[in-house]
Amino acid sequence: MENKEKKGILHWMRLLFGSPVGAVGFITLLLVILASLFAGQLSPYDSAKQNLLDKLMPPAWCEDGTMAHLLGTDSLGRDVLTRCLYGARISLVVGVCSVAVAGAIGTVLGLLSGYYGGWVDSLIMRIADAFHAIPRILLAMVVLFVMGPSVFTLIMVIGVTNWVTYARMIRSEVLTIKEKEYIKASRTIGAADWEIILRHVLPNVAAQFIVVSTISVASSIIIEATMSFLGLGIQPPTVSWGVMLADGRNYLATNWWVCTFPGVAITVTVMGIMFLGNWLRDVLDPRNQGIR
Amino acid sequence: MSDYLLEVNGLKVYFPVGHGFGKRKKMLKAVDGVSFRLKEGETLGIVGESGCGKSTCGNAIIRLLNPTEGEILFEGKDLAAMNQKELRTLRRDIQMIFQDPFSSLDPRMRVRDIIGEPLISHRVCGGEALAEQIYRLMEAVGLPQEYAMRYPHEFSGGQRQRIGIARALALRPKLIICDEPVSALDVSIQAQILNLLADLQKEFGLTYIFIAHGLPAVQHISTHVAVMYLGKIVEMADKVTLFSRPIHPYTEGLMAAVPIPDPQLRKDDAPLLEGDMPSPTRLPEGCRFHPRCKYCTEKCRTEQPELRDMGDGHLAACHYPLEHAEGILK
Repeated sequence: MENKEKKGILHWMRLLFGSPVGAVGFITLLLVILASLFAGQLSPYDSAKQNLLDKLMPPAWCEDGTMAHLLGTDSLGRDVLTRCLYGARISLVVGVCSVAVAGAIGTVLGLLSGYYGGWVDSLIMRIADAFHAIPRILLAMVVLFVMGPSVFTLIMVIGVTNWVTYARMIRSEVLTIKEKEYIKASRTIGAADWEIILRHVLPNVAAQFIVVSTISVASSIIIEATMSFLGLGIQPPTVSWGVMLADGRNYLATNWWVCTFPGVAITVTVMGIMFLGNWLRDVLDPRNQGIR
Repeated sequence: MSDYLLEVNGLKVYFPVGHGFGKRKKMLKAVDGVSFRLKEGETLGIVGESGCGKSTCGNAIIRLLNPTEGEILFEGKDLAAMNQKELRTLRRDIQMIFQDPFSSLDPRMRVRDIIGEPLISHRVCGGEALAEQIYRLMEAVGLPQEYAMRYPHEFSGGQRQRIGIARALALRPKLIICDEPVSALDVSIQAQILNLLADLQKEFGLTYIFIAHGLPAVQHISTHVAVMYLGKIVEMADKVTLFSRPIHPYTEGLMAAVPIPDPQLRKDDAPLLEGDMPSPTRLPEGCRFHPRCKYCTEKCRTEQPELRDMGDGHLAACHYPLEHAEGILK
């Protein structure tokens, strides 16, 4: 009983590298995080420094490309690779933190709504309906306009406008779990509601939660891009992948690289997160023990 | 204090149905005035078709459902009138074993944690003592110690039911409500579980309420049997009396429905039940059983029979109790 209890880092590593999906996701994400952290060491350029003489240079492997700018430069002569590295910081922070905010609000409200039912459920779900009826971007725009744009406000706005997804998902899961006999068993023991929620309900909704939240990291990064594009998100000279996408839009026909690379960066990161999420979901489910 | 461990008086559980604007609230009378008494060490088998209110009755006694009316006296204290806080301490004395061994165990918990949950929740013991206690419970229900770290999906239905039984035993309860504990299991496993329950009853001095939908399951384990129909007890007696001489036509029908393995012994004119149970939202006038009863008369259609003593504590609710009905026991 005791020896199986010890689950050190080694144990998790073995699990992780035993699964191709998990390993790929983990390594991808690790590389993205390291690259963003060490952007200053990896690149000789400043992400905001303009150099109009070298504007719109193609990537190194194209005609007219130079090794000095591996992924080319944008319309103001800034190095695309450097901006991708720095941009990862904001995009990752906004993507992950806003999902955490949305997930926390949505999970709590969804649990209350599903577990207690009755008027609590009606109230929370009607508020959720109301939230759903307002266009998300419009709401975000108004709040950002009033509060003034900043990374913190952006995170809160994206988070708060997205809680409905979680609340509904968690609620529907709770409704099925609530009818299971192990919940009844727990009540005959005399367990308090919070004990039942923490011990039985929460662990059993975790799988769904992980899947949905990894997918919404992607949509959060896109919303951040939209807001930045509208001028209400990240303000220059700070750079994010969303800002880069927005900048590059005008040059899509003539200078494809300006928004292709931030786009690739978003895709790769989101895939990494989803792979890791899928792996985590499988590992956390004891029924999959044999498959790992 | 009375001699009875459990005394249920006039228990009623109604559910409101079909409410909405402009509609009159209807009541589904799931349990409609059930009374019985149970001494320590006895086993009351409650039998009836699906929907007769037998499980609702069990759930109300353990207060998973709130009774609409009636008293549930456990060691002289009325459970029906208690609030959740007072109930918590009494929970230790009454436990439940569930029907479906697949939904009654949390798939994300190890066997050790499932069996230990009641002990942890009531802070009975911790650490070494807790592990010790869990092993002892596992041994009592016939599970090897090595299974402690496994998850429920690794077990068969019978073994899962053993885990559920160990959990119910953990707090050393006096009364256990078994809600169709064997009906989801293979026939060969059913006997094992029934024997286990009987052994545990002797070992721990337990009292059971044993809910089942057929008579054979309660035949072995019960000391007393109550037959329920549409929320009411229609016949109740000690096991031998009831099985040898049923006096309510419904009980006679249930006994006729018990399969007889030997084709030579089968009778062509067995008084089998016909038709379905009416909806408990639209109860028939008079005797609730009259639409399906072959002895039905005008009196049965208009007047509801009360449960009364037909001699030797043999209770039945029938205007024309059977005199020569054949039971399973001779």
